[in-house]
Amino acid sequence: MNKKDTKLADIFQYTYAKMTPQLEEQLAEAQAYFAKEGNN
Amino acid sequence: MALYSNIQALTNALDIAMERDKTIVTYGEDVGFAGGVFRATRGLQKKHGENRCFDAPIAEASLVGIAAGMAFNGLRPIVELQFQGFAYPAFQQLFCHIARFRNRTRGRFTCPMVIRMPVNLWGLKGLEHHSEAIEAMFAHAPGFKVVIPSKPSDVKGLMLAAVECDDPVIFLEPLRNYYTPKEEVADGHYTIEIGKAKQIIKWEASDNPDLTIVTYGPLVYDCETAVAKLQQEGMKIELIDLMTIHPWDEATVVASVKKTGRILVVHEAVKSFSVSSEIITTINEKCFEYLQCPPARLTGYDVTVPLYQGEHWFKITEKRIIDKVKTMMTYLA
Repeated sequence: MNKKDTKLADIFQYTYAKMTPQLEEQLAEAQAYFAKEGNN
Repeated sequence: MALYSNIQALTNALDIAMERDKTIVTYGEDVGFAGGVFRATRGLQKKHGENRCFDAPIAEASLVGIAAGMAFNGLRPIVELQFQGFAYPAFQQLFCHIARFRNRTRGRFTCPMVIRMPVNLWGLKGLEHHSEAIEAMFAHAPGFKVVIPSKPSDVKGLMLAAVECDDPVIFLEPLRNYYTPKEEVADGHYTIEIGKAKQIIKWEASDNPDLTIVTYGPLVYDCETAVAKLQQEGMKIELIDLMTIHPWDEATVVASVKKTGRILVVHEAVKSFSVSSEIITTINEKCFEYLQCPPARLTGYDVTVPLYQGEHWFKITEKRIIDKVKTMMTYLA
């Protein structure tokens, strides 16, 4: 598997059974950033 | 002067400390014959003998607990834990006894020791527990001093200060920077005061600097290159390497923010209940009327750090630092 295949959202899902409000916010912010700027 | 990497500066500091003080002993997994997993103690067993530099079993709770016994009885142990994540088994000794022994004995006994461990949230591509950044846990326990130098000359000076400190010191070593870059390090014995930050880039108030970046550990290097690029675009950024997390140099950070009106805290550890939480709260308490935009932070996420296939999402890159600064500079613009 290519390392880029690991999606950010997958990583966020594994720590708690249900994401915390703080995690929801951090994920949304990170996804918006990486969608715009990419991830090298 | 000698051109040293962080690991060479560390070896030099340990050698000088052991030469000066015969009560110092150092041990850990592979620390004796092999010189440690990253070779920080290379050559020390041969020079100072098997009674002062030796291998220990793979049992971190014992390593640290034995150090407590040594310290109570007049020795000054320096314990190496191979990775920060390996400190978890030793938490009971660290938090229940070592951090509070002075308090428990109403100041009659002290527990001088240095617990060394490498830190890094990403870049190692290791297995679980090899990529951790739990400095805030140690900083949260009254009794510990927590230092995290990033550059060779600071590694040496802070290690020599740590071994001479009468309190237990958690000595965190950025793993990504063990071998590079190198810098000129002064010969012989010198110390750097625990609790003092280093202002890497400083402006006069009359220059009207734009923003303060506070960071520590491996991200000092990324922040330095980011600040250099921002400076080419005309921005004046003050850069502070905290160097000691607890007690942190509040005076230096507050003075800087009173000049710039903006603060960005950058660290790898998780965001919630972190070092940045403490710094930003203090800035809000002491610099509120000086602020031109909300204090900000660039940190790890509140999740267990992923294995190497997901590490790239956690990298706090020069570009992310630059983008964050630019966002702050356009607040309400």
